Amino acid sequence: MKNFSSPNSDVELIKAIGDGDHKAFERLADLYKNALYNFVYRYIGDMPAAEEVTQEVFLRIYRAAPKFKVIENTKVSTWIFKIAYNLSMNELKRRKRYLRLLNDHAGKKEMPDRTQALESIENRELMEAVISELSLIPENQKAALLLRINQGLSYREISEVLDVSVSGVEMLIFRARRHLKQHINREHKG
Amino acid sequence: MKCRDIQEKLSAYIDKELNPDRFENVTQHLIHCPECRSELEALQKADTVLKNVPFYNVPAKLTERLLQEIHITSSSTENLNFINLIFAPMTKFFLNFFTLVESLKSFKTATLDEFSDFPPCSMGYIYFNLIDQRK
Repeated sequence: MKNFSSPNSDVELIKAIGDGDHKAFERLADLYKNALYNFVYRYIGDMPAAEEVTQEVFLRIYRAAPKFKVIENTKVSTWIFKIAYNLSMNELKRRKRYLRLLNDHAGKKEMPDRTQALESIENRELMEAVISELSLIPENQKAALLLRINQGLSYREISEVLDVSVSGVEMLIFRARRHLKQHINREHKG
Repeated sequence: MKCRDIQEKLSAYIDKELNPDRFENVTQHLIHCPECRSELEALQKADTVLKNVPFYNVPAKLTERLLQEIHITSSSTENLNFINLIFAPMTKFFLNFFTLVESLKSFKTATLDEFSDFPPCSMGYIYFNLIDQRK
């Protein structure tokens, strides 16, 4: 799944964005928008919110680009996913607070945008089941698993995004996988 | 290693994040242990389920909205820079000007105080005497 540009070209893009180059920004957005959008959607579980957060991630990148400093062994993609993770985490907290206030609506699940909906009902059901199951996994475990499985980040890169040790990442992913495995077992037995 | 230890390492084994020795240990264990092999397959199945969740393309309107926002942000920054370009030198000029005026004021006062020994009955003598009385 990981198909980002090379680290050097990413750094050049960020520098160009910092110098006010809008074309460079468009190029960066093209490279990362789908990966970020899908990561945020899986993390939050709601498409309109994922759109908002993805947009905010790019605005943050644009504003921060002039101050961006190249740190050895740190990739631009890691920096970008760190921004996405932090904003998604904030959004999830905000939504939880909001849902607590609106207890009446707690049972209603927001459906994905119909224009984006899948053609196959089976796929849609699977997607909703997995997204719903993901919402039950502790947030840091979920983020670690998504960054590994869907974005193909290494444990070291994930550790930079989540601000935990590499062995901590190993444990988070192990627990998240075990959780998903138990869910699949339940589904098969049910 | 016991099955429990091996199973805790299976997730990192799938991700190829174990060091070569540990990776080899787990591989050897899996060859002889059906229970751990089954656990490995179950974890891999969980990965497959997650990978099968469709990957969406970001809506086109989001990209358009984003580029609009960027243009607004950059033009407001440019306006700010333009304002700074005019006002920064002006502020600096007035700041220097008032500093100079203030320093001149204090300079004059100090000089007058020093000239307090005027000849008797002169205007200066009378003036400073009056001031002293007020004090």
